[in-house]
Amino acid sequence: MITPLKLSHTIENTAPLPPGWFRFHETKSLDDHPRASGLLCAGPSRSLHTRLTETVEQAKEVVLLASFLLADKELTDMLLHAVGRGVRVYVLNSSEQRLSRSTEADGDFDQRMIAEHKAMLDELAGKVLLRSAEHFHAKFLVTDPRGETRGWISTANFNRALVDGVELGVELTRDEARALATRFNHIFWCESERELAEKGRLAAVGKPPVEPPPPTGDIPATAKDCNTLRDAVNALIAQATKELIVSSYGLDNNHATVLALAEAVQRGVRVTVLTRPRPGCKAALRLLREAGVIVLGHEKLHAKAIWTDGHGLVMTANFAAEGLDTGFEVGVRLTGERAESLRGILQDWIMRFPWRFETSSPVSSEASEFCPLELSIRDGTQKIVEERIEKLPPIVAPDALKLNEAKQPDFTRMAQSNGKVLARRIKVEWEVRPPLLPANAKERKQERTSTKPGKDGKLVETKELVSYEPSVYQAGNESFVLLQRDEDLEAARKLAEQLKARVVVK
Amino acid sequence: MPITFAGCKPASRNSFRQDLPVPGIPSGRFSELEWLEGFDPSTLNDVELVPASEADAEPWAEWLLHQSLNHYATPERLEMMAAAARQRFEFHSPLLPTPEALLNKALANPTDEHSHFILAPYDLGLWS
Repeated sequence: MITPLKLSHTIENTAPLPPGWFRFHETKSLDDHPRASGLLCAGPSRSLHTRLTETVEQAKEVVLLASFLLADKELTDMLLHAVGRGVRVYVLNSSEQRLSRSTEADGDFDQRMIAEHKAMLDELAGKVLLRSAEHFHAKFLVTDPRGETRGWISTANFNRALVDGVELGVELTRDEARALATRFNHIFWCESERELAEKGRLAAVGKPPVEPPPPTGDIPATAKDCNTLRDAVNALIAQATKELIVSSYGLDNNHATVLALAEAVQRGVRVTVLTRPRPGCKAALRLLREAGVIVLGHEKLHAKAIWTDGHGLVMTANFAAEGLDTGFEVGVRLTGERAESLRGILQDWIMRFPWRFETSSPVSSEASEFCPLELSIRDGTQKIVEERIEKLPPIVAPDALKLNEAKQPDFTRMAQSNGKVLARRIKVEWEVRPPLLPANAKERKQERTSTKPGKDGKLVETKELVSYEPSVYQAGNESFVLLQRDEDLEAARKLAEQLKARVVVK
Repeated sequence: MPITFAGCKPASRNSFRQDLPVPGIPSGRFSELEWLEGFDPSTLNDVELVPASEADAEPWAEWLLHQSLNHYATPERLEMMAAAARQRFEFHSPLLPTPEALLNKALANPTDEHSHFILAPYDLGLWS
């Protein structure tokens, strides 16, 4: 009998995808082994975390700590131990209102972290002097500004980001740490809005008893009276001649520093931007990539740094107005060995970051996943496979003996993705089936004339209606030859030709 | 009424006044007052107090200074606060700790509820 015809067609998926992220490597923990220059990465060997807690542990008189969020148990315990041995601890952090509306509220910056932060504040209440304001975002630690001063600037909040984030920490020179202490003092007295009066209660802050002296030393910062951090970023971008590497969690397409990165490409600088793949930066990412910037991503990136031709800067500000124009942020300039260390770290990240952003690229031959720019990596990632088999609904041929003449499906409308899987090739499979005899068809018979002897013995011509071989049916104006046995194939073909009928099956 | 620092309640140290109870005198207690038939117990309200001696005035003044320390203070403000405390003693000239002495005391007792009003300005750049 007539068996359905199984057909297939392979489409090479060469059409450009919408802007999005391609995965080229697995997401792994990055190297966080200490570097001689005092530059550290966050990571599972906990070197940055350990150095910060050790610094607090060794404080003799005063600890100054600033962090947007504070929720690290060990560090908090160390602060409380310090208080217990008579050390005065001063903390600056962000207000609850800012935490609630944080631009970092997507991704890993979740409500649990905010809850941990609040619980930690309750533990510190009455023991440390803590002030907050909506615009505080800087993260740093200074101990004993009058004695054996030590200090760190961290891109990580003092929470689990110190261990599982892609973050940087820089140990400051004594002069830098003391300069940072003067900035802390000024912010504490002049820009704080609330003071932790007791567990769960923040009181409004009054005027300082006297105007504090202006900050001294070379710590680029963003504050109400100061935009030296933005100036430092702009200067580094402007001086780049060969290569510029930038790391930033946030990127604002309207900000002059982001536009300056795009302009640097125009004058021949190779610009690489490392960021976290997330929809929040989509406009800036498109702008940068379209300008020729190489854009790489890591799900845990939060570090903010810039390196160019022997100079670097590690800072707490994103490349955005809230950070470089307003807010409280700090940074540290790096030259010589420290700048070289930063270059080494950023180059290592370039090699190992799992994601690369493209605005219009076909499914790459090496990428293993794709995530459209509009979606988060968590929700929108599609696996890239060599071949996806797409099964289409069967097609009914007009004639059981002409299955090859059935119309082909419309491949031009074939989707590149089925939502979860994106294929380099799409193999479309479908079946061509013979047409069935319509249910309302009635048998059409032929008139046959024959002669038989009559009663009188004479031959009499008679007419009778007999079935065709194979049977023929009629529905409306259309005739159908019903094919029921293989041996009737040829007869059916001839009969169909003769009657202008279509061959069907039952 | 002269009073020792130790014998003066905190509220009275601040107001320099206290109510003074006067015991009753039964009839015939004093023969020369026999004609008065005795007194009922009574209270003299808002009796003005003064330290019993210089030795009482000094801790009293220091106590007042300590109590007035409820805002962040620089050395200049501490001097003014000390002067204000001294002015309250009409008949004595108590010696009060210098700002440096107050700082040293706060450094020795950083968890005292008033210490941070001295320590924060000292630690955070307001003590020139």
